[in-house]
Amino acid sequence: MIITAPAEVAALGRIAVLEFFEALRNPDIPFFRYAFVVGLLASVSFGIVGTYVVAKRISYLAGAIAHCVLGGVGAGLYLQHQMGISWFDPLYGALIAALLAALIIGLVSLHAKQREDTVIGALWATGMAVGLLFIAKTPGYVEPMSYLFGNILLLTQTDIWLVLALDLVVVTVSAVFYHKLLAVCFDEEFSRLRGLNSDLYHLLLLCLTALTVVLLVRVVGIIMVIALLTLPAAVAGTFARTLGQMMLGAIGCCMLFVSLGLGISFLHDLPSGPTIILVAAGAFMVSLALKRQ
Amino acid sequence: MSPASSPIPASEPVIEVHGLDFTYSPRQPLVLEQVNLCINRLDSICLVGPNGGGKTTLVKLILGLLTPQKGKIRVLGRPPSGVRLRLGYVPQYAHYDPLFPVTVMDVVLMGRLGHQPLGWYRAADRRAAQKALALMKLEHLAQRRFATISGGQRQRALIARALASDAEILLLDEPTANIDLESEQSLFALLKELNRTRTVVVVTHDIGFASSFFQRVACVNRQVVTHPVSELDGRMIQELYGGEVAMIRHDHNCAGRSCRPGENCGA
Repeated sequence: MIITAPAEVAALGRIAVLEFFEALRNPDIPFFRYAFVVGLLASVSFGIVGTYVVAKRISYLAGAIAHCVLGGVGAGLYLQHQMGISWFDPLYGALIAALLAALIIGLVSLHAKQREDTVIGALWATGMAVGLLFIAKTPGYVEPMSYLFGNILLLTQTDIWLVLALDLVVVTVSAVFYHKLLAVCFDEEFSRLRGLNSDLYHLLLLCLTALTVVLLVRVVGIIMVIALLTLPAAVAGTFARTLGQMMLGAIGCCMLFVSLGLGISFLHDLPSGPTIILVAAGAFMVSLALKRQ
Repeated sequence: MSPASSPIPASEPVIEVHGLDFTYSPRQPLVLEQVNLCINRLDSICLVGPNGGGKTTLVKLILGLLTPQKGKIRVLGRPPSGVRLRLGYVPQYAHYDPLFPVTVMDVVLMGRLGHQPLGWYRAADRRAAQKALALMKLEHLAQRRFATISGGQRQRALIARALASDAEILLLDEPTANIDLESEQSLFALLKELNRTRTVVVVTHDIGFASSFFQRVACVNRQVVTHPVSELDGRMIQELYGGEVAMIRHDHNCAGRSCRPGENCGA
């Protein structure tokens, strides 16, 4: 079918939007509604933490933390299903692995700068390897692709509450320590001169990043979570004058990318994670082009 | 803006370094060895020397950002960590990320960190920042993004940040790097003005130009030797840098004229 008239395009667009909202209300597919709500709520944490990650240029640290999460997830699944520790949700494993990785990476980046890239690369690969080995030894319970690339079918109502709790933590920490985190991100040395424990704030940022990554892995997956952490903030950063503006812009951009990505993935039967990421990447390209003009 | 009244009168030492040794790693040679230095209140002194000679390291030791392996540093009569809020530090602006979203006002307010128990700035902090910006003639740029102002203006903004806490001692690390000649001249004139009420310590490679603004010069090359600026000549510089040094005069009296080694370059 060739569409030529703008009226036809508009009509089709209206139908698509109606279908999307219909799906959100449909009680037979609650996971889609959960994904949408989790995506919107997660945008708050993604926007704020992502702004710090982009402004401080530590996205490679966040990437390493994200990949270590698979080790925790794998260990959690193994303990739950093979060792009979039924209360040990893979999420707990992911959380422990992410926080541990954040602390190790943080300490290495602070105290062994010359070895930083090697250690981060090693942790990155080791986390993945450990996770895949555990998952291989836990057959029939999980598809590794779900964790690597995200699967909205895994989302439950509990995830909404967890992400809401994460938002509360992230908003509170960044509001209370806004000026101090700004100073540490902008000029670590000067912050120390003014009596701030910049190492502690650096570790705090990495731990916040770890928490955000863990809770959002189920939506977009380990491999792509880093894109959603950085791309909305990068788009917002192209036009923002202050860190606060960048955060608000990143939250708005992230909400838009998640909504558009989920909508497109639903209407065209595409995997949601990659679709969201491609929408974000497209917006980033457009923002760069606009900035150049 | 003048610094808060200090119990230390003029001509009393405000920075005292005794028998200082420092290395970044026990496996590496000493960066500074047996350094002795005394800087008095309202002194203006420039630290000169070759790259890797230890100038920036010495400044960071004085600021308490590094800890010496041996020796003693007293600043305003106390260990550096105890007087950090009374010190103003201006690092090289070139190390700042040009994409970082921060306004000039945000940068200057950072100078007030440590004055408030909770995380947010108070009205007094904003007043102090405004005052420092006014002193640097940058009020009209307060809400501009830091990365979008010129090199000279950024350097002034960083000095305003250092002054926002009523610093009694200003330490500047290569403030004239990456700025044009006009900005450089106005910066040194400004430092001279600030020196009427504060001690000023500047790391620089621009010996010829700086020598016209400073009372003393400290030659830093693992060890430190201080001279009155009038004694500084080409031979001394050549010895300090360890080889032939091309000196270019670029003051208004002899702009662009090259000096031979051995010729006095203090304009």
